Amino acid sequence: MSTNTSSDKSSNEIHVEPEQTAVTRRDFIKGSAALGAAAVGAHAGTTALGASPLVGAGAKRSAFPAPAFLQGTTLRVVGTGVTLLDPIKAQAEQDLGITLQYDVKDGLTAQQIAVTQPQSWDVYDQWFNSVKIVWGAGVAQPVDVTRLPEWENLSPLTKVGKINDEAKVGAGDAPVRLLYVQPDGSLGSDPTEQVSMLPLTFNVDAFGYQSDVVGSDDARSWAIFYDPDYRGRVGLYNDPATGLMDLALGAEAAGLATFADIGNMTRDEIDAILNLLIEQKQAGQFRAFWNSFDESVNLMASGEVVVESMWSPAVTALRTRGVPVVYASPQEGYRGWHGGIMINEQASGATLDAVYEYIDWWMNGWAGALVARQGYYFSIPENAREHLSEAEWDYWYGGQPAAEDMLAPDGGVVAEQGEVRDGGSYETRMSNIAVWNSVMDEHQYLVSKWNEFLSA
Amino acid sequence: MSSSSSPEAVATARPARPASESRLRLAAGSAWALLLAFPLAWLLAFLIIPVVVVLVVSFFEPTLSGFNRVFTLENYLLLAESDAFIRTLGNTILNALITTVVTFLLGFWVAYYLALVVPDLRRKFALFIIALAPFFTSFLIRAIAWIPMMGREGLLNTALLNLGITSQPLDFLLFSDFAVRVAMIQLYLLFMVSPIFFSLSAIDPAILEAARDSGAGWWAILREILLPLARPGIVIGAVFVFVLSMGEFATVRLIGGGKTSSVGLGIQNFVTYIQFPQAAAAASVLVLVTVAGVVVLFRYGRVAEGL
Repeated sequence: MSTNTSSDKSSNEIHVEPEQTAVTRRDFIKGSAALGAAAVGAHAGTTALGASPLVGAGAKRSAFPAPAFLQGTTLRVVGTGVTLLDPIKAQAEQDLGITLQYDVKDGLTAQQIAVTQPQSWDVYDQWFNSVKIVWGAGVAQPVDVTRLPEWENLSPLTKVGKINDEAKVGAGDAPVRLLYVQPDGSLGSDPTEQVSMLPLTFNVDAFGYQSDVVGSDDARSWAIFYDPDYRGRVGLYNDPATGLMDLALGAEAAGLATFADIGNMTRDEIDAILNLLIEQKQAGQFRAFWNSFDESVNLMASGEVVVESMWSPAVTALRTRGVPVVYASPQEGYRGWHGGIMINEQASGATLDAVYEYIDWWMNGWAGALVARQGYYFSIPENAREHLSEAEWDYWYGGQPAAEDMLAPDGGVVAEQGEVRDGGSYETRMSNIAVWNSVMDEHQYLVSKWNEFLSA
Repeated sequence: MSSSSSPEAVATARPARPASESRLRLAAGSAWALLLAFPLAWLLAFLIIPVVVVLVVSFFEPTLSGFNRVFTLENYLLLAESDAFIRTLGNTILNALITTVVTFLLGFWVAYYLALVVPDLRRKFALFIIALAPFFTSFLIRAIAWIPMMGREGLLNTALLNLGITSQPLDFLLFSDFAVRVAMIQLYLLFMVSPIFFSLSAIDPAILEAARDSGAGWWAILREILLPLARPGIVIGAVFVFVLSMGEFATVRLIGGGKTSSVGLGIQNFVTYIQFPQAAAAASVLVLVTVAGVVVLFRYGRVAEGL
């Protein structure tokens, strides 16, 4: 298998796959028989399951050489539906000759799996607001940036903290504050050659609103969450590390609360905001809380809510369904988030090599272009640009009117010709981050207070 | 165990060969031991050990990414001090009681009809299978199905609006305690119907005939014969529904939409936030309260007498 250096991949697969399947199934049986080898069993089992990669028949090849030595390696990726997308999986499998097993969960569940079942994944594809928790659990190894040729091209947003000198860094867990592994193993912003999570996909979040019900004046501020005009029609994201930030920005804007550091609240500040929230909840202000992306779409589509803390692809999904939803550009600034990849502490040998190849493949921009069509940005914008049409680049990054209909990865029309992206260009949006998704020093206290809010 | 095995042994042993009787008894005894060893191991592995682990973890000190193995009572103190937890616990018990009572009031008549009104056995079981039909779909699907039914733009609200009964959608139909209770009653009704149905089916029709011949009316038969004889079924049904309702979290989350809570949902939240000791403490309290409820049901239900 390793001697097969033929550049003709299709003949390669025909010879390799059946043999591969047989071997791994046998391994699987042996593995399951031995109780102590549970991890081995799981690993081999997944290889057997995914041994006939259905590479999308129509998928175009990206200009990426498939390293022959990776043939047959399986990577188990746990993460969220934000980046674990079928087209990305198919393309990466085709380009790299590896088998990818995507375990798609909502954010908190993925984080929980990462921490509690470290034997079940090789790659953790998630967000920086889980870095403190996952790194703190000791289940990840640093990413060695010297193995990544594209590292030097990475955006200053994460390497330095802001895209240009005029931009705000944003309060809370800005990726740069958790990026570099310091000599003592802690995480900080002093550059080193080892990083906790390799930054890839990111965006700013706000709230969506139904434009036929909600006035655009009301939608200029996060304060809308407390607006009595929309009592009982507000949907919230059930996550203290992110959903709370939206509510805190709104409370500050509405003059209901103040924070010394909104990204790292004190106990008194947490008490104040949570008491306010409980009061509002009992008065019937909030209609529902969502945990998964699909729930957020359904809440708005079924008319249960008209204002909702949500992600931009949810707005995309609703618009392709014909629901008139607009993504707000709040004047107080956005809530930023940054995704990326962490490597399992246990990964070594061929698996580790495959992980680095997979990260390198990501950094080359094909996947970055795909997520751009969902409204996300990519940490090396120039590499994503190579895989986008000029019209797409101008619409998604440039903030210019669409020169033609913009298509989502599934082929649906996201924006018709002439439409302009909410919030403007990449520079405008990314310069205006008020706060990042954050795990505060008082996170545990916040979690129990948040649970009380949910029970109230 | 030996007393329960001896009738078997006696039945198997021939009186003509008394010498082999003790050997047979021994063989039957070890067969019973083997048969019981499996469920015992099962209970140990999947009930007792997990409960003990939960109990132990509930005394550990929580950290950002898990826990330290340091003894603390803090998790229980936090729960005791939290009005929200006490209120949630009260609400959970109330919901479980309401669900148990209402499923009994509805379920008894379903079982009564199936067991006593429907004449032949084949029709009885045909109808019973039909009653089971919704349970061929997954629990979650049945819970989710309430959303298009009771939502703001759902079937019920649309019907009420179109009929001119209401002038605007009723919000309490979904994402409320009311909605959660309705959904739980629907989800657990069958757990009440089945045991009552089997209890009622076991009643000898001759008893009812004799009662009627002695001049007992419908009400007297119900009170004096049916309810006492169905008691084991009722108590077992009540235990099923009560225990399931106490542990409920999925329905509460889906149908409650975050507007209402249960201890189970609180535990799930703590688990997703990786605060295992707090989750374990809440779980221990929940198990304690649930077991207390079951003990009360069995004691006052005097279930053993009816068997």
